Amino acid sequence: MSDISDDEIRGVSEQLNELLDQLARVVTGQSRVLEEMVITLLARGHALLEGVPGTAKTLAVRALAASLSLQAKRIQFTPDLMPSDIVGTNVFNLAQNSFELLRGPIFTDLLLADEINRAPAKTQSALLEAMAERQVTIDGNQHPLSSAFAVFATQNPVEFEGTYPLPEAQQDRFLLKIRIHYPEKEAERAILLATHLGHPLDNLSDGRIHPIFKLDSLIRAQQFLVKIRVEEPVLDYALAVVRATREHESVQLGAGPRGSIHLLVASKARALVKGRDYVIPDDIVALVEPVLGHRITLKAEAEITGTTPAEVLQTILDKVDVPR
Amino acid sequence: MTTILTSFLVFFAAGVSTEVEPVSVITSPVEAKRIADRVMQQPIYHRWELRQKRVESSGTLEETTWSKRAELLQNWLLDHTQWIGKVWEWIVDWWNSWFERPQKSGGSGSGGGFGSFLHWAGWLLVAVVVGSLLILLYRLWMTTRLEGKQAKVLSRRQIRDALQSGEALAMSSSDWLAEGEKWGNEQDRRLVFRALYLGLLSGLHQQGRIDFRRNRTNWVYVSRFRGSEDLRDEFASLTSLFDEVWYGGIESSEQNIDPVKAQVKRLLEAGPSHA
Repeated sequence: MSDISDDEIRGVSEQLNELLDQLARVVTGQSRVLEEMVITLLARGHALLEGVPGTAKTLAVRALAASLSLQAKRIQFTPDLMPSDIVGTNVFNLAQNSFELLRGPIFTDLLLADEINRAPAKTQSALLEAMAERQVTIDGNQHPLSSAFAVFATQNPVEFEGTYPLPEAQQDRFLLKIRIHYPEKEAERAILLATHLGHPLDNLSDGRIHPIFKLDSLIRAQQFLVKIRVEEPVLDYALAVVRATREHESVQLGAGPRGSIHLLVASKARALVKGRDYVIPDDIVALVEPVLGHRITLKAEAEITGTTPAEVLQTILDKVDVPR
Repeated sequence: MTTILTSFLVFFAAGVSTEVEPVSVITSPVEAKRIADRVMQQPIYHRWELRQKRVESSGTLEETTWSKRAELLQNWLLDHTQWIGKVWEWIVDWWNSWFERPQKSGGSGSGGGFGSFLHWAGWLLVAVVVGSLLILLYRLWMTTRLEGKQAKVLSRRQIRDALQSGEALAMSSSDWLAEGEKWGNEQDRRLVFRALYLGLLSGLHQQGRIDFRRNRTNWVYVSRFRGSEDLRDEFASLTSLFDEVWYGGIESSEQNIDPVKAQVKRLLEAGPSHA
């Protein structure tokens, strides 16, 4: 058994659930999305949010940042955006007769990269180093980023006109790809009622959001993950699922070792959110699609027949035995 | 007997004279009896004997088609089964020589010691073979006896495979619970919990409350459980406990096994689903 006390686990879990409840009051009908965003933060990862317009992607990220009293910045990705617009650049100060660093918006805790696939690959790649190593290099000098640095990028699956698909290497850096669907009828009705009664949903300064986690609490919660127990059969189960993606008949390129690592780490974060200090197979199953869905490339014939990565992953889950 | 023997010798001398010693060799009644014994051991004698009996009973050699066929079959069997007797004799001779060897070597020292060892090893081998046969027969008998009660005797390998795979349906609910009892005596609490839970899954599947599949997680069974809310809650609490003990690596204490057993029993006694 891990050496985390039950009280510690219970304390962190209660805080996380309070956080989720608060976010759910702002972002109605998207509890799964909110849980996966919190998992991303706990696992020190980055998330790619994909959904049709008007499904509260941006609002969710803003609400999360406000709930954690973290600094959040937003970059609207456009075709003419340059890498230096993201990371910053050295400019010459005439008064002091020297170069000084003008830091870009990447120097923050939470970065909302809105419509990331509107910028060309060169600009998207400016995020690679930051996401992998939590640092940026400007004119040969390395600059560390915040220890809580996380990228929440959004992209629209419908508007292919004028978009640049993310390269595989870039996609692989994202811990989760969170799919946002339309809310259920009841949830959408609640949104309508709130709007009707004069509560602007995108205004977070009306007292609905208060900081629940501070930066040090978040970092402590992140450190708990190391102590979350994973029994070997459960670890082997995760491994079997990932490896099966490389052998599936419809898959051209399966998930790599980073996919295995991310699946395990995300599962541990989910266990913590659920108030456990051990991972169960349900954690793995719940995160297979968000973690692996964007890491597999389907064969052309599979795509033509309309097969999706989610379907492929489901057939894999149907074949792999759950350890028991 | 004399008549039969005489007529046989005449019959035999006409056909297979090479197999019989010449009459002139017979020098005494003892010698005659020895030759007669040898003759009577040969298949051709049995053929002749059968033929003779038919002649005596019907008074004619005109047999029916069926009796001809029977005779042919008997002849064929006699001709083709004599090798079995020879092999058996060879085995018996070999076996006797094997056990007689120590006495024949007779001396002391290493040769005698080795011979004695072989002697005992031989008897040990016999004991093992006989013992194995008895066990095999017993298991066969038990299986046959219990088949009538729709039960089966599981081999150690079957139990081991079921345990390794976590395949709940590999054993019946009662078998799992019996295994759990066994491990309870051996103080392995985690295995007891596992056996109880797998037994529960097996039983619930049999009752139609869940559809067991090896690729489904425990909480899928809970979410698709067919039964009242109370039963579902009880199943969910047992699932939580199993997760904690099995995946969380928690050693359960002595006192919390009995309530679990009672819970499992309650769930299984609720009967089949009517949904």
